[in-house]
Amino acid sequence: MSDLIASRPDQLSAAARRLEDHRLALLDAAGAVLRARSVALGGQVVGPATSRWSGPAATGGAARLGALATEITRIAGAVGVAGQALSHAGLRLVAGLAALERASEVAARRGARVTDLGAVILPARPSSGDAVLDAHEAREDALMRSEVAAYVLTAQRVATETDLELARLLVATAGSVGPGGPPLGTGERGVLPTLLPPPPATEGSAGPEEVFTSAAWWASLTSQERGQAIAEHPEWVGPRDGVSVADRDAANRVLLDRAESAATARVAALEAGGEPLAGERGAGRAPVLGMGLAERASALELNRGRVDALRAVRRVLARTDGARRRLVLVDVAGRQPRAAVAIGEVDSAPHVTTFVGGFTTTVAADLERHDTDLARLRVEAGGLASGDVAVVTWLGYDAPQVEEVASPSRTVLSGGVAAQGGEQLAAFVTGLDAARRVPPDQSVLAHSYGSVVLSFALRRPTGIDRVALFGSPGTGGAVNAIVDTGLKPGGFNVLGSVDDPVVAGGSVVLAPRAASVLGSTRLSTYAPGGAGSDGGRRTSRGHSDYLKAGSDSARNLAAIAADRPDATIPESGAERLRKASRRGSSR
Amino acid sequence: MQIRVETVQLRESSSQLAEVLARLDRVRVADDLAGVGSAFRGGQVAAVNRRVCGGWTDGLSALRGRVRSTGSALDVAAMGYEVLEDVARRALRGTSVS
Repeated sequence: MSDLIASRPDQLSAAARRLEDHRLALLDAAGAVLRARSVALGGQVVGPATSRWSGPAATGGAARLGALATEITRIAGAVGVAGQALSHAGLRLVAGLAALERASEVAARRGARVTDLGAVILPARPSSGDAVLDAHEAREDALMRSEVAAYVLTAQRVATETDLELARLLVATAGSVGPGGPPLGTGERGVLPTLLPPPPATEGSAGPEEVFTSAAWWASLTSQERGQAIAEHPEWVGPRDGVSVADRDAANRVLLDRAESAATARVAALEAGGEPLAGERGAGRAPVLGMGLAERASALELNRGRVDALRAVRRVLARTDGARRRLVLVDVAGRQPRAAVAIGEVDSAPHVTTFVGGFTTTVAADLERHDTDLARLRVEAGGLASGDVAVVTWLGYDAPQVEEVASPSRTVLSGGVAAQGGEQLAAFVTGLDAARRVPPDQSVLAHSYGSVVLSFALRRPTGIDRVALFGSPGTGGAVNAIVDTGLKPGGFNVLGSVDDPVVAGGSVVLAPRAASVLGSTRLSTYAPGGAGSDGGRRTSRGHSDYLKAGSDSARNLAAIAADRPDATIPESGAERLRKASRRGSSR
Repeated sequence: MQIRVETVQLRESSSQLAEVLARLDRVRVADDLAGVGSAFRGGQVAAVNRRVCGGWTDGLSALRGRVRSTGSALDVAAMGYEVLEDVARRALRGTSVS
């Protein structure tokens, strides 16, 4: 690391500029040789007389001068490649140094410092006397360590690879000078600097280290390289947590086009009697009739589902309500398509809220509805917040479906699906923080089984500032007290309507109830009064009414998104009594 | 044999190559690459830097040599044509060629 700190990117840039001067001088020289050939052959008027030099000597002379011009032009090309390599290496080193600076900056925000060997020195942190606050500080320190380590490692990787790359190109260009030198093949990737590939992904979902490493990798690329990566390798960028949302959007739109073309083509091929591909066999839900027929029907269903989902994504992106949509995730490789669409500028908004859907949620059936609800919530939150609020509909996990209830690994009646989804959610929200210089205020609003997913995500260190679990069946054992989550006091909010059957009965299999989590804050979903009264308008009914316009629950969710705990409406004594009496009567 | 030549133009061409040579003298890639090793301390670039600079020095030196010899060849050709013309002219006019 000390070698990187001592490196001089300015020297590389200065050398690159001087080499560019040399390249131009060589091209001038090549032009002068061609003019000299023209003069020798009499093609150019010199003095009063002109005559054409001809004969075998003239042919030989012309060839020799032509070859000389070609050689000088080739050497100019080699100088140009060396200059580009130096210039690029200079930019890469600047990026490497910026990564180290970022590591120091991140550490400094927590009162820590990074040594020349890349170690993090934390200040002594005496206990505050509040276990929840201490857990929060420990979570922030863990995140900081992950981020610092990622930036230090990336800086080292950038420096090492830049050094190797530059050495290779300098040797290649120097070796190409002279009549017997190997040709450079200018313009080929083997000669021009190669794009630094992304860090390898681990199997499954990314932990915070991997997310921060992705962010550091993206930050280490020049703007030209980022454009190149999006155009040539959108699959590196679109699904990668830690990359800025604007860049993910650009890459995902390319992937969306590709996925839609591929799925549409597969539907056409299967309808024409084509055979299912290996990955399509047994992936759909079609009933078994006869093996061949059922497999084709199943594959058709799978691909039609993909087309439906992708078209739903496209319709949401095309909405013209004045709010910009960004495609943060699109993935149809699995059994259920996954997608995430943001409204507003996630890369710059002071507040970012992520919504997590629940049981039976699919992109095809639910994305548009959730986007509509969240657009409305964003407006209400924007009226409360200082600064913009961006919202994300995150359908980024494979939500359990009705026909999977009997499947031990996929059933909604256990936390199995939520454990995996929680890791994906944790990586996603960590990525939103990691992609920004200063992390936004982040909240997550999770409905139904999505709240189980969120509970598992909270077991990982994330930058989530506060959450709301609404219509929750429970935490699936992932969270028993707010101290388990690393959230600050007041950060764990619960909303359950008085007649929501999932809230009332879900804890039978997914205990503990969210409202029972030690340190949770219960918020209002109910106000006394019949239908048509003010209380009726404020009350949410059943399991899917929490975002109803004008309701206490919608107001509370907006206040959480806006970081306005003072604007929330707490659960009233009347609501508590109603719930207690329902529980009593159901026993 | 048919010879058509304007030796003034051959000499002009040679003098243009002398100017090219002067330009090439100012192209000192190795000098500018010499500092690159210190910008990248302790790495592969530093390790190969001497070889790289040597490659450029040799390569450009060889190039200058070829430009120089081509210019000389043009001068020799011009002189040769002039001598030939002179010898032929003297012979045909009956003047001694010695």
